[in-house]
Amino acid sequence: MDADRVLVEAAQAGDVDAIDTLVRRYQVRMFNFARSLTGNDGDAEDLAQETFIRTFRGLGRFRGESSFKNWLYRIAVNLAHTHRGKRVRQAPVWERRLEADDVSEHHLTDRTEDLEASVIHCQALDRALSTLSEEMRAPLVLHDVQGLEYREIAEILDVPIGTIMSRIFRARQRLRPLLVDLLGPRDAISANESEGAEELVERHRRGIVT
Amino acid sequence: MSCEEWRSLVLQAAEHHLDDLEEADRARLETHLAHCAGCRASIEDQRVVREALTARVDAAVPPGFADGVVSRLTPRLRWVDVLSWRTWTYRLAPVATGLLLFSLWTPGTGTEVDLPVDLPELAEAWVFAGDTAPSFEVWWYEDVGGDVLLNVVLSAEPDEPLVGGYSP
Repeated sequence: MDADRVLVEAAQAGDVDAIDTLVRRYQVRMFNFARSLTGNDGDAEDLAQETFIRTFRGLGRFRGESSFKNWLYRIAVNLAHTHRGKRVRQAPVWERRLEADDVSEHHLTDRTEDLEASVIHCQALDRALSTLSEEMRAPLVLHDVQGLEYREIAEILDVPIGTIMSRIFRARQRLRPLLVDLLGPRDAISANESEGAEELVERHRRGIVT
Repeated sequence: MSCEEWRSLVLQAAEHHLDDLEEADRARLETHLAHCAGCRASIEDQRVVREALTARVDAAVPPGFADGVVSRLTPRLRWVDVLSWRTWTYRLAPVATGLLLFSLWTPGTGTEVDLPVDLPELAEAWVFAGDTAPSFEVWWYEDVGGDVLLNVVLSAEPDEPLVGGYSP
């Protein structure tokens, strides 16, 4: 029996400490997932908090057929979908374009500037993510940011694995041109065109592509 | 076979999962990539976007987030609530309603009291000013208690005011 299961059973019996432990265990994941879905901190906090509240109030219905973590994600996705129209607190970020200024500051040297650069990097990614449809954004964030397997994402979103893979593929394709300033131009690819396919595949297999 | 059909293998190549592929699939992919610059570019695009997202730094959770969630799930009685008249009004309203219904339903149980004086006699002796109220000085006689006075006032006929003097 995993640690979550023990805590979930205690929480089902009304143990407040177990609830507290579960909230603290998943708050970073849930807040950042909500941030990726909503595009701003205020809505993300509301969404993450509401996710936990719904989860624990409905804990009596949790039978352990999926993991507690995946159950949380499923509730967050459903809530985000339901309340998407209500998220008007902040101007829609998808209406803004990625500005060159957002990423030019990456050429920084000292640690403070590196920290700023990582924040800017995050903001640029969040803005690019917010241009995606909800259908593509959720599986991409769950896989690339939250580190879930295709199988888990399929379970959370209740769609076939093939569909999940296809959505992730298309989402990355759509993001690539938006991240030119952040990640560099695509012409690095054309420089590789003369490279042998076997060598390219081998480098990807070893994870040593630069 | 179109590039669309290579999508699954391209995705796995971008995520460095080629070792999971069958040897035959891997060989077919290598052959395809040798002739398809588009799929090679796709692998690269998929890879760089994935790596950028994977490297995304988590934002800090707002202070007090967990406490806020737990307190919403486990509301406790606060002193402010204890002192609030609204709280008590709501809580005592059913009790008050119950007592009221009980008193209406229960037959009257008036208490018979042995009065120290003869009431009709006392009433006849009381002085009323005009035809409305007893004279003020009556209230000061020692043998006229509160219950006696009440009985006299309630039993008095308003249109037949009593006259006369009281002699203790």
